[in-house]
Amino acid sequence: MMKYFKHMLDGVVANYQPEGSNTFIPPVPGNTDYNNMIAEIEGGYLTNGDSVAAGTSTIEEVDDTPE
Amino acid sequence: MPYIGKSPVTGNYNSLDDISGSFNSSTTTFNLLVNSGTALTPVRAEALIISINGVIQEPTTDFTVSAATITFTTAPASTDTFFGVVLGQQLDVAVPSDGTVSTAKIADGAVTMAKLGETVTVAKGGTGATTAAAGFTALASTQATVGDGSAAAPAITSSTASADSGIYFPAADTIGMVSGGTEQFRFGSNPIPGSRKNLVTNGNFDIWQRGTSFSTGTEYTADAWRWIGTAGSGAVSRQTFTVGQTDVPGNPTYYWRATVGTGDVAVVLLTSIEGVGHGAGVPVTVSLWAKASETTGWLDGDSGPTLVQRYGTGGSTATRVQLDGTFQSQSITTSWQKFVATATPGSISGKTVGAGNFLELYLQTDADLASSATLDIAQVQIEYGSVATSFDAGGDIGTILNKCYRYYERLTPNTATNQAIFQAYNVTSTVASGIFNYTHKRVAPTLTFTAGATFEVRHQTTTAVCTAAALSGSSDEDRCLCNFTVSSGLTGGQGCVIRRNDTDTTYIEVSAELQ
Repeated sequence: MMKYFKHMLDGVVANYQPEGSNTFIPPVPGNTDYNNMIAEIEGGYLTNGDSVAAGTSTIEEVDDTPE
Repeated sequence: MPYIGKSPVTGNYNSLDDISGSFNSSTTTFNLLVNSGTALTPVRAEALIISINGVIQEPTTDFTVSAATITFTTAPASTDTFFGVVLGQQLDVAVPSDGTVSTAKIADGAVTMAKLGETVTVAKGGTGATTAAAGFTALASTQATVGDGSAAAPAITSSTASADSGIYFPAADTIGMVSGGTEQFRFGSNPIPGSRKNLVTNGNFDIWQRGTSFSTGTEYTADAWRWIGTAGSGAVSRQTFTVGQTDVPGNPTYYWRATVGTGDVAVVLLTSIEGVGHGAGVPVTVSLWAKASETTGWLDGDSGPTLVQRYGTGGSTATRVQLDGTFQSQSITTSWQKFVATATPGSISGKTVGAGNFLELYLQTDADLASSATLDIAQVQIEYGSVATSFDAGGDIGTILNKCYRYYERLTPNTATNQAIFQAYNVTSTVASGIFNYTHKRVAPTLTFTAGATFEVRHQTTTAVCTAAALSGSSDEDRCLCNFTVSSGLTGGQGCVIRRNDTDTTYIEVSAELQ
């Protein structure tokens, strides 16, 4: 199971970061990584056509807004 | 009286029948007869010599003619004598014998379109036949018909010395361009978008931004080429052709190689063409060169070589069409061979097309390669039409690289010490931010940084190794803001440079791949 950190900035979703990586995914439909992440969380199809069950990945919200 | 000398070939000289018997001092009009009763219609009055009582009568003054009659101004008396001669007569010109009217006998410009008719058939070119004549522009408002010809004998060629180079017509609404007996290009009823012949972006395996060897499995290798495997299943590497080799035409530089890890596994490779509409409902032809270290084949069925139409986010379920042709009839051997198959992806009419849709070329071998066996692939092409024409890389290296940048770009400073990456400014004493501009991407890309410690911030005389490198906010198609964190030492509001930490490999990946 993959966990994504959902980075929030000033109350807006900034990006998603797969745990343990230095990768940052913009919250933009059409971005392959974003679409696959949503499929892993909600269930559906990956961009390569493979089906994936809901809950395959989870999200943990992180607020990056400077204090 | 007979002619003196050679008789005229044409003409109609004759004596008129005597009409004096009808003279009566009142009648002025008489029938003109020759040869004892045959009506004569003279061309004009001047064609006759008429004598009354030995006095020559003046044409049109003393007499006129109309059809086959003569009318005297003064009615001859019954005692008058008469004789008349016809000097010439209208007659049909002889029909020239077949094949005797030469070009020189026809005045320049005398042959009009009306004389040519609405359809002009030009002899088919090729060996032993006349080539199509110039001057088609003169037929602007009409139709010129040329034989279909073939790749070996084009319908239109420029000279008999180049009888195997020219133009031919391979199918309805299709024109083929031929050189040396081989079709090089064709225009069809489905024009090649933007004159792009090969739909594959990096079909010549020229661009390898991510490196030249891979072993993870399920990763992009050469740009646009995704290897599907599992960890430990083998490796992929870039291989270089021997300069001047002739096994694969066109002097390609590189080819793609998979080296099998654990035996009896398949090699899977795919690439994506942005836009599911490519080839939809019309024939496209896939061609590539391949060899292996031992004989194998392409997998048969839907999991073998196929074209897959993927309809993007929220789009219709993917559809696929198998590549048959020599992919199924021909083994992969230890020698380079060209594999060709034509397929017609389904129409996209009625389909739901979402963001990120594409046409996928999926290649999979039989799962029978032994451990350490290799599979080599070169010059992959997908083109419109049902014929595999000569390979087209899609432009020069720079052009292909820029096409690749639309989907992936890696910012890699060279190995020089402290190589600068881009300018930034100090937001606080611990964070420097810089705008990273990249080539316009298909969609807002995913950013991947190497570890924070691979970067450093140079501020005035201070150098600080980063503890983190991250995307700040989101990205867009052209740029993003990056944050580089250090433990301390920066002065807020001042400029700085983000550099490579010279002890590490450093890069930033920008990915907007289709899958």
